[in-house]
Amino acid sequence: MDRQEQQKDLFSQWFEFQRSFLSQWADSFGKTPQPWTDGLGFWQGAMTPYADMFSAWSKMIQQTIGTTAGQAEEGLGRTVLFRTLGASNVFMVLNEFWLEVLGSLRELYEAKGDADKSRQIFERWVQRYRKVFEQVVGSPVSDSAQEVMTSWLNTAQMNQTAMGLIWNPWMQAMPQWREQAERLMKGDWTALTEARSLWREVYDDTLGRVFAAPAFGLTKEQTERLRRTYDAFVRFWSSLPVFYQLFYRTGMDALEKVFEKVQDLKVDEIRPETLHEAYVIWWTTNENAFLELFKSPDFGNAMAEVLNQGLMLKKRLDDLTAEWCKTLSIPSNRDFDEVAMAVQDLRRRVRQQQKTIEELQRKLEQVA
Amino acid sequence: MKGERTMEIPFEKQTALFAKEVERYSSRLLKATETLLETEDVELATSPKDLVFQEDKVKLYHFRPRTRRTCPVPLLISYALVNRETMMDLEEGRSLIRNMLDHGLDIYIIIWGYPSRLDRYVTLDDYIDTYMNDCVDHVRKERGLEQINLMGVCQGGTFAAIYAALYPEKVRNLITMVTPIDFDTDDGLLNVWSRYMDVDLMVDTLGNIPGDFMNLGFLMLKPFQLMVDKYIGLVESAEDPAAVQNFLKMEKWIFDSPDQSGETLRKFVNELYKENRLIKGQLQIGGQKVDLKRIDMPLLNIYAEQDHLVPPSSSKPLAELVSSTDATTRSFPVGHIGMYVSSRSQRELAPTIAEWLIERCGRTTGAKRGRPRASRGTKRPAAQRAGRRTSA
Repeated sequence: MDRQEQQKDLFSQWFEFQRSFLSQWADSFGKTPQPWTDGLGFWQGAMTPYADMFSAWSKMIQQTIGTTAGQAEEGLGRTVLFRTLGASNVFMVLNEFWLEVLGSLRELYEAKGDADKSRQIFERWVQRYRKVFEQVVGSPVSDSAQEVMTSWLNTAQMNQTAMGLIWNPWMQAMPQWREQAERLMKGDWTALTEARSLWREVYDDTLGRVFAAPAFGLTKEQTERLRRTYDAFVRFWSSLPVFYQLFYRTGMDALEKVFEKVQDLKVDEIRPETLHEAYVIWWTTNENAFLELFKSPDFGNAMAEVLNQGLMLKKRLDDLTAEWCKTLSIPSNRDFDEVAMAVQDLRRRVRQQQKTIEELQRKLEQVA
Repeated sequence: MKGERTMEIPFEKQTALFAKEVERYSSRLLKATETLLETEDVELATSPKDLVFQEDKVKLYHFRPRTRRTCPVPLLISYALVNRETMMDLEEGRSLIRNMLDHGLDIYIIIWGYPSRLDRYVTLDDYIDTYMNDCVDHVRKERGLEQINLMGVCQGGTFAAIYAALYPEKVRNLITMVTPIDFDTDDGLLNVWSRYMDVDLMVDTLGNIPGDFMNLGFLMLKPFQLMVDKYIGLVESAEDPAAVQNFLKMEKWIFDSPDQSGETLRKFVNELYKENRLIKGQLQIGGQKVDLKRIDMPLLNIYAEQDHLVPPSSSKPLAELVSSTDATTRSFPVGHIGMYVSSRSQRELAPTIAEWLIERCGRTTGAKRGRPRASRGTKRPAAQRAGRRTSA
């Protein structure tokens, strides 16, 4: 199966899942004549235009202000403005999420007792909420989470072409990755960690061994240096999912708590009274949840792993650059470091000698 | 009652309220945009001061007096290497320095500067045993005094405590503020995170540690508040120009983060954060063991009760670790930054420091006459009069 077919296969399954989900979702409408659910139904219609309005407004304001600010002179105000726009985006996307939730309350009511439907609604919220979270956490993983999964499949494909002998472990892992990719796309971020562990296992058994093997011939050192750099890149890249998965898992757990708080606040209904009220509950709940995460050994270990692998990658790249610089008449980082060390040593010596001179002068004055 | 509250508002009205809310937010955001785009920069630390000494990138400034001096012994302030001392003189209405000057204190301050690549091998020993010591000697010489008052803030407080332990004969009174001393605590995220960090790999790879990297770490301590809510709050107050100006000043300070000299950070994290050597008496600076028991001069240790950077459990133990018989510990119900800028600290912190110092200044300057006499009612321990290490 070539790369395109693999992707098609993966995404056709996903598309099928979406299609059937949407179909069920559509069928569920129109079955609830309860008077108060008519009220909830109102949200479905009423909120949609507002949600669109928020999106449109948000885009418009970002573009307008972005253009204006882009033309403005560099300065503190401009810098802070861009930070403010980033935060405002979070606020707006969060508002849209609430509207999505409100808009599907009727469905949720109908799904009472139907665990599958309730789960599906919640999964939809999760999908929507990912956008909120991507605004906060940034998107090194979330933006490319699906790409990550696809890239792993690509790596396997590349490997098949180049190194047929070690293809089997990748092939064997493929079905699990497909299953994990589907789970990830439904919002299950633990799938990313599982996939990453499996990927690392397969990598260590295959390409990792190749990169660790000694090279031969005239280019031995350069080849080994390149392999070490590539290996460092792969290890850094594969350390990211666990780190970000912790963020997403905590974010999702916090979301559940937000819902609980909102329900506690409004006894009968899931409805924040003002958007700002919902926003305050949201950020304070998240802050506490993340504080707990940051204190945990899981986070400490994941942070250390990402940091160390990132540093190792930089170190390897610097080594490569230093070697390349050898052939040019420009100083490398190592040369600069040697100069810095010599300068600091000189500073200390000069100071010491100055003090000795001053001391001797004092003694001379006393004698005189 | 909560249920009743929600039922009073019909859905249609609620929808309209939401729309109004967004409309209001957007108009304020536009106002904020206008104000921010009109502001190129704001000025911090405007209290007049003169450069009196410089060594490499380190500068010593002397603040011009604002009133008659009430304490003849000058106060030297040592701030942290992380971030800038400008926080202590943020603006006219929020300036700990200005408040202390108004109480008649005579103030010098060390400005550590921005380490460049050339400074990656500047060590913790260089900072304390050379730069700080030379600044202290300069003030002593300029003022003809054997001893001066020393005040250390945050990491600068750790430096001051170490310095006072190494050179007790040069320090008349020691003040430490929001100062980490006991690093073995789980109350602060920095303490927890440092255990996982391979600082050797970091320094070997990066050389100096970028200020932006340090800043990211600080922002991560309260990510939602510091990266989202703070700016939403700015939008909410966009129609108040003074509030926007205040915000910008804080913002300028927060992101004004000098890089950290690699070798200094290596020792600070490894030997203090990870191994907690300071309170174990195992830290060595300039070839000398740092023994906190040698701190026998009056000590005022101030900590913030809600400090998330330097938790109280890290600051509080200092008084028990020194031999001083005149050790005072004071706390304020504020956070780390609130200690400099909150309205409460503006009212109470400077008077607390000034009164404490003035009581212990004595009436004579002690110029070239050895140690000034003890403050009233304070019994000085015999150890204080014993021979000490002489200055380099």
